[in-house]
Amino acid sequence: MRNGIIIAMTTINGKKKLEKEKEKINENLFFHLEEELIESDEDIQRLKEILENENFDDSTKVNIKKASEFYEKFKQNNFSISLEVLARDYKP
Amino acid sequence: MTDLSLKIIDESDKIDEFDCGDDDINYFLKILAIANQKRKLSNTYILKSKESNQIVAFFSILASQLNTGNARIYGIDKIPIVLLGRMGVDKKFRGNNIGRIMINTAVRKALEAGQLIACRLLLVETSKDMKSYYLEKINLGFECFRDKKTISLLVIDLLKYENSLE
Repeated sequence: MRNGIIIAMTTINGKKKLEKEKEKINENLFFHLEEELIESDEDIQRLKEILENENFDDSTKVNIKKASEFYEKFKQNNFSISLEVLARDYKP
Repeated sequence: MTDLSLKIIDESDKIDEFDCGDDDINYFLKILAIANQKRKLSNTYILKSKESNQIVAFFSILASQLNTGNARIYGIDKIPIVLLGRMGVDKKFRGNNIGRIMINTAVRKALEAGQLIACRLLLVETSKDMKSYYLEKINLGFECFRDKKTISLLVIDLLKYENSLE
């Protein structure tokens, strides 16, 4: 009888563990979208526009260059930075 | 002074105290980030305090593709992309340009990856509330690709980004 209870408990625990594992796998998602990223002809057109437009606007280009300079300093410093410097100096 | 350093997450990192205020994002860091790292499903970069070892922020990136189906672009039906999958900044450290440096770093990691294996776009899913943060405040070339009810898909064309550095 006792063995029966142990087997039943083991089975219940095993099921719970499996459910938890399944839950984890189901939640290992990076996006909330339930459908494909590209769904319609409009999406394709929009993607083509993005890929075929060759330049960013000037303010974006300036910002990218500033961000790049900041990243290079960060990299040269072995990816270390003080919170205070980051808050003070990293401005768009 | 609070010194911070960037590294890839591993089991030695203190993940329990991290709280960005979003349960899904906290869950990812605490339960999935290291498992995904070991399985080579995503790389999670953390910014942590050198003194306390506390994680201040993180982002995860992985390779993926955009399937265009029958509508081929440049003759191919799959555009190689990098997903900026999950990102969070601990509530205690907000307002210090941390989000900005993490996104900038993620973009640069995507560019570096693109030197070895081609990838054309960096793609991120964001809430509608955060859309303007990426487009206007971060302003690193994000463009809106798709709007849904509560979320937006944004991309950076990494080729355009690279050309902007010249």
